[in-house]
Amino acid sequence: MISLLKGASALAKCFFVLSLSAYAFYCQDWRVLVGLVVLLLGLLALAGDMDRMVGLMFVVFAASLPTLLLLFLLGGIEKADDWRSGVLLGLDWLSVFSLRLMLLVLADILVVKWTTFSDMLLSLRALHLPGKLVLFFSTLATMVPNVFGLAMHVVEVQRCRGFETKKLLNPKNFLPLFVPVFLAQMKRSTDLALSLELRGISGRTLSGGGRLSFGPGDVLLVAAALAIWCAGRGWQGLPG
Amino acid sequence: MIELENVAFTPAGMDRPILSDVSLSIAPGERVGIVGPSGSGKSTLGFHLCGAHRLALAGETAGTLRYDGRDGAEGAPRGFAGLVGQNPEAQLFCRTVYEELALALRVRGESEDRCAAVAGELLDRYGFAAKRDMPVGKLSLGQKQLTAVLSMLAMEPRVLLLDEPTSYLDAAASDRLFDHLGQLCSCHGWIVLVIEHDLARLDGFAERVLTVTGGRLTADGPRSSLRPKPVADMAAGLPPFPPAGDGEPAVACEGVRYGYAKDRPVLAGLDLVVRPGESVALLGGNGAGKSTLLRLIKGLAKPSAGEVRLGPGLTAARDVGLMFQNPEEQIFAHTVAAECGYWLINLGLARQEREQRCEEQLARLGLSGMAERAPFSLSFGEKRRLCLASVLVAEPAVLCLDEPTTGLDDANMAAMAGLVRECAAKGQAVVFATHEEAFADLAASRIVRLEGGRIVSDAPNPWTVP
Repeated sequence: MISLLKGASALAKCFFVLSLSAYAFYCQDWRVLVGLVVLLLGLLALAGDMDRMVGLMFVVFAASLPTLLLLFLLGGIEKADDWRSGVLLGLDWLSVFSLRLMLLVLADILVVKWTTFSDMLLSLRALHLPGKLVLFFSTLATMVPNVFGLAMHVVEVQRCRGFETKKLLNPKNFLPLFVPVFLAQMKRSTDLALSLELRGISGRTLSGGGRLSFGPGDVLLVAAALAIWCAGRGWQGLPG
Repeated sequence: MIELENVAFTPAGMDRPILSDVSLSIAPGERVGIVGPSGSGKSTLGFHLCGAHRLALAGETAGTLRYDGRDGAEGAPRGFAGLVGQNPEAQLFCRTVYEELALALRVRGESEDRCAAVAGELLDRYGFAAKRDMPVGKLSLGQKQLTAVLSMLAMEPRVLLLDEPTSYLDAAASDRLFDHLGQLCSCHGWIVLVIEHDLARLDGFAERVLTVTGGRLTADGPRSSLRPKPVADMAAGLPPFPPAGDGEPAVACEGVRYGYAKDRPVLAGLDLVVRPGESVALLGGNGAGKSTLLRLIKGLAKPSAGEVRLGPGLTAARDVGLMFQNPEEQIFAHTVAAECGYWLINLGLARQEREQRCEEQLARLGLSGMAERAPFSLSFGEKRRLCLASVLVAEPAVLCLDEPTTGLDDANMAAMAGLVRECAAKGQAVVFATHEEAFADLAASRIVRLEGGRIVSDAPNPWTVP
């Protein structure tokens, strides 16, 4: 089953992930979102792709939680009639917001881990999309895992100078991580774009090399992408 | 095939050109070296020569450019040139080595058989076939650099620009690369342009050398114009090595085993002792485990078997300093002084002491007067020294340096060797990984060679033995 899904075309995987991401922002019920997060984690675990990158995502979420908690609690208290219901409202917002974000990142990790960059490019080329758009979309999809990889390295570099994860409780201690990651990623993106341009990936002529297929794995993913919306209709607070 | 006439380039936002009055032509099959000090405009000239200036640079190019007889104001035609920049990690994005090599061919619409044949031939030639399906992320930096070069060779461009292509490669891989490039030039008429600090390396390859100084082409001549500095000349004026100590080891590795994958050990039972006052160079091929050993000494990873012991009272967090290869993955602060003092803040030192120590180290590394400058505005060599200052400032008993000479010219390399000797003379134990034999000769009191995860030789530096 997993190998069937992994072997599906890049377009089917992208369609599944886009559908899931759109649904995450449509859905208001945290229980559905938790279910979807568990589903994605399960798929990653079954495929043997639960590595440090996934772990780091949870660390980042945990580290940013105190700041987010404060913001959402203040927002909830301002909106509600009394502070008790304000706290509950804030927590509800926070859970939905965090779960949505988690879902997006996990979905992206899943598609990147299961799809090679060249498969993604060649599948998008087969749709005769403009070269620059193909390049943009492919690099965007691979950006999140790349940034995570770079962030792990920067954490290691700063650990050598006394950085400790517990210090992230103070938001200003994000700077030694955020600034090098941001700047190095900017520099890398420029070099990457140049390298891709020279390899003819974003050229105007998109002749040959395209990949378009529709196998059993694609059927499963497309069905799952549609089923998410149908299955979600019965939940309280959801449309339908 | 390449003609430039009165070419000048002014970057966006600047009113003066950083490259001007460049006129030259290059014929098929030429092997060209581009040399000059850091920031002199070598890369800018290289981008114009290979017709990638519109893609790589933001600004205005004046003058006439022709590639293969056609106007090249908007750049060379697609597929004309390939380019490998200084940072190999920034050019790799596929999952495996094979995917990376095959990408350009697949995009061109070549069959999978042809992709496999071209990639297979290249991998065999460079003795890299065993890494064919290895994830790119698991490769050492040298192996990544080789993959980046091979991915450009696979697309068979007519002009190839390589910016410091051997900065992370071991000697064997470098020799193989230049030998292959020479064949491609003489047999297939490729033009190969190499930007290189290592004049000795270039001396064996380039037939023609372009010297760029202050944005101008100041010399264009045969390779005989290159004068690589002998190690003995560079060593003149360096502080002497301290006498070898026989005290308690600062670092002792016993039977250390480590691997990123269970079946592929990088270190396979390594024993090494480093005493205070010693300066040990780790040499070895790409992927030999040099950087991994430094990470283990710093405590960033734990050996799967064996032990890394530090001297009495020393802890990895406080007493081992590690400088990484790329300064751009470390620098974050708004001033040089703040960057330099980051470890001291984490150690909880008082402000006055912090400032004093930073001032001393910045002066020692030739960065005095720059304390309030933004570190991002420094040159690569200055950033490197700042990163070293930010480690030395905590006065670690063990100093680990990972490829400390990457991107440095001969003068800066000699200065770095002087610093290493100074640290050893102060009683620090220095361990550095390098592929630069000349630097090892200058800076090490002992040279250790790694192969297959083990030490194959461990001997005093013959340059320091009377």
